[in-house]
Amino acid sequence: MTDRPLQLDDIQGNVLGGFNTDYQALIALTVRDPVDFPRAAKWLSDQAPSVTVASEVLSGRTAMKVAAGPSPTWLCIAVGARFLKAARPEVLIRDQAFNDGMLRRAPSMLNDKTDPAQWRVGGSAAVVDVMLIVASNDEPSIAARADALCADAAATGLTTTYRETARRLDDKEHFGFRDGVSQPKVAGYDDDPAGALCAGHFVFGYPKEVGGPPFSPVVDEKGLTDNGSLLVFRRLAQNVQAFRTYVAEEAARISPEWPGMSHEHLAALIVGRWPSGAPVKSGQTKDPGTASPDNSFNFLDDAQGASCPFGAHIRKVNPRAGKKDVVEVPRMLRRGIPFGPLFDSRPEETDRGLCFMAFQSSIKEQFEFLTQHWMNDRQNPAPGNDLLVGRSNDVRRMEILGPAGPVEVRAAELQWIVPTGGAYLFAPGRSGLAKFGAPAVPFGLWKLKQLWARTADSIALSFE
Amino acid sequence: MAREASDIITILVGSALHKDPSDVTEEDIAKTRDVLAYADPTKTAPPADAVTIPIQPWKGFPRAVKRRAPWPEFPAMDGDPDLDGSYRAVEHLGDEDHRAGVFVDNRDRVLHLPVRDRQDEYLEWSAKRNRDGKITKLTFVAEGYDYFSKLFEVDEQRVVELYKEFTKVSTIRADDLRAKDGIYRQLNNGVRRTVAEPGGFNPRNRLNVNPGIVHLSHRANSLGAEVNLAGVSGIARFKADGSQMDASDPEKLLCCNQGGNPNRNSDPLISAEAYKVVLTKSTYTLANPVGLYIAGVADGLLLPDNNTAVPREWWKVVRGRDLWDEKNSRVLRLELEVPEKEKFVVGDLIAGGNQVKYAGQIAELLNVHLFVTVWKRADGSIGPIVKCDGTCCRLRGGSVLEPTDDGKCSEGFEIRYPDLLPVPKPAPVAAASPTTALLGASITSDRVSATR
Repeated sequence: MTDRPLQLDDIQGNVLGGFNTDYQALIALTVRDPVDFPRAAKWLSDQAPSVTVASEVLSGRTAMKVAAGPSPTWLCIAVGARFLKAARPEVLIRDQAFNDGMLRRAPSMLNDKTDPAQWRVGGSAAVVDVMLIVASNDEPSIAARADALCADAAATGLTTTYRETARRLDDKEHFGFRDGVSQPKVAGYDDDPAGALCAGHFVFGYPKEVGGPPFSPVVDEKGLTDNGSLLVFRRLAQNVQAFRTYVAEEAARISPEWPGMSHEHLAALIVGRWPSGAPVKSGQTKDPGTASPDNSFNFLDDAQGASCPFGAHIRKVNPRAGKKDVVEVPRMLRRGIPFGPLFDSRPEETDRGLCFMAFQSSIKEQFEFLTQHWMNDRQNPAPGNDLLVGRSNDVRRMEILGPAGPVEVRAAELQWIVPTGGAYLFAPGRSGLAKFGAPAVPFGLWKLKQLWARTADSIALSFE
Repeated sequence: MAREASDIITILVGSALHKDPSDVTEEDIAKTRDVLAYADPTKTAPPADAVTIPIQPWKGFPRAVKRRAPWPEFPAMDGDPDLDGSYRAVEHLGDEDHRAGVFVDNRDRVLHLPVRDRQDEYLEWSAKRNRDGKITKLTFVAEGYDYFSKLFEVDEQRVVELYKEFTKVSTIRADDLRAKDGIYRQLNNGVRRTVAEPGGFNPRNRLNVNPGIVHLSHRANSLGAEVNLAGVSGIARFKADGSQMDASDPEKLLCCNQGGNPNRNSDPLISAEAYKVVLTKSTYTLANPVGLYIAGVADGLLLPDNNTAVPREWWKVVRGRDLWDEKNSRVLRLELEVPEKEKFVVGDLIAGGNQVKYAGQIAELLNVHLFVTVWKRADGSIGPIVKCDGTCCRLRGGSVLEPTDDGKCSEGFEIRYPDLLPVPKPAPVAAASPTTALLGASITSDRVSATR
């Protein structure tokens, strides 16, 4: 079977390839009055020609990099489940997480017990119906386009409930580590096919493996979801001082067991990479430095966690060929970008962190699985907590193998990363976005199927 | 289990000596047993410095069910927490766990013996509901049916007592659990396989399905399968080109050693973990007592406030021990029930932001594992290296793998790992050059002799 070629003129550019610009304005829009859903849907469909597709990002990347002064802007659009249901009730994405939403699932699936009333975005008072991402290497250009979009949206009943401009920090996150090193390659998109994953892991309508059936977990007779992708957006505040203090104190605490342990070394073992992005290896005590971090390694020859601890963040989210509890390793296309100033330049400013964004074809089996079953779990994919980002009901522990044997590193509640909101969204293809404006179908075939299933279910249910 | 361990040693010795297992002699076994990486514990006692460790757990919710989602036959329903149908699909009762055919007895009467035929990760469960349809109690088991078969052979009454205790049916008699006229699987291709001997224990008896659950029931959820898998994984393998297999691709490894079902999480991962022990120049055996155990429960089940974790003491270990100690957890039967003093039931608890309507919502939180006893080899080698026993075909346009021991695929399947077995010899009329035809055999011979 020949797999379907990627529709690069339809799939949004931030899904494949990613914007990766210096600045990105993130805007959350909320429909305050339900009567406005049709108008808002029409406006959204009118934006279809101006949404930036993958082919445009590919062809425009060079121009984006070299532009001086006002530069082009790129646009990504995604919608929430409430908006999709109101605008296109005949369409259903059969992903439990997307439909339930982050707000409802965060306590159980993400172990996020923060107060949603305090969330900066997506909280109980401001459902994210539409998310706009405006990207460019020129901040004023972004501001101008974002202003215009917000004004147009407001005229159709879409209220801006969150707006923030995020900035790249030399490809590092606020704790000082190089970010985004390990991205899955997508077959048919990336030049190097070695190790590439099939597009169905990230985009609807394509196989998950060569020659396989297209993955389209939808009820959608009009093809609105084709070439679409599910987006997780999560705003994570980072407390740099808390992390530095913890690492320094914990390094001192374990130094009798591992003489000479520095806070830089311990931080690297917790992350699994040095700040330069170089993966940690047994025997190292300092960052070896690298311009192009290695991503070709696996943990097959590190069965004891001697080089990279089992609990190290990079090993928890991607065990490669090492220990794991499921055969397939879930991957996502991460598009995160930091917000807020660098700690060392403005320590008095406390609002900084990461706008985590990731595309996938199943939020439940990718983002939520990675979070609940790996990052937050002490047992899988290998023993040990992820002390960098994992949340747990217990004291968190990971083991590092020192010169004299195993050393336990401990951390109580996660204090250096605090979720401050987010949303589960769907980023349709350009053609799918255009279909939002058609008159709504009030009663679709899927409704009839539901009724049939309910009847069958009530007959089959037997009480014990 | 002793018979399975003995059988697998015979097969491994046969592989190492290039002999058909039926030609392996006692002398062969005596000479070769100690160079294998897998030890038959009934013949080889672990040394004093051996260590017993759990292997990495696997997920108890069936991978095969998740891979088939969304399930068209279980449509999405408004407000239902099973949008992709997996939680309903996994509750299926039937005989999909056996190859296509029917069950018959020794008088050729067709038997209807449905079990939880999609719960195939060595974990099965049962939900008790109240009049409102809400779940009031969940029971998870990881105890092999063949243990009960053996126990039935030696102490029928003990099995009856356990059944009474766990089903709350006080009228159960041994005959209710007995396969009076035997049970056989009559396959569509004419082959007949024994499931239970006449008079023996019926592992598919209805009392283990309704009103409760006592032990595992899926055909593949047996201790015998565990022993077989551990055994065939305990010998190094090489591919058709002579290069040694590593453990980086658990599915491929399992296709090579034909030790189980590559479409599960459990079998490929167990095999890979065991194989890694082999490659570290160690010997291992399944730890005594041989078993499969619930390894732990992930966070994610909350009280009705959708914020507070369910207290650990609500999880009751009925058979086994140490649920919350992942290095020692040996739980065979686990129950979840809300204490009576509370004003709600299990069905009011929250998983994934939704009330618990299906047992599968909780089963997703459970892990399963087993224990191995490991010791370093005295000779510092990895032992014999033998060829793959087979490979796998893949369903065209799908992801399901089907093991094959001769490289031939069923209708609709195509070869998935062409590099595991030598290319089949062409038909005589189109014979390849002698060099090509001999390549696989000569490599096989050289590799084994070089490493013995």
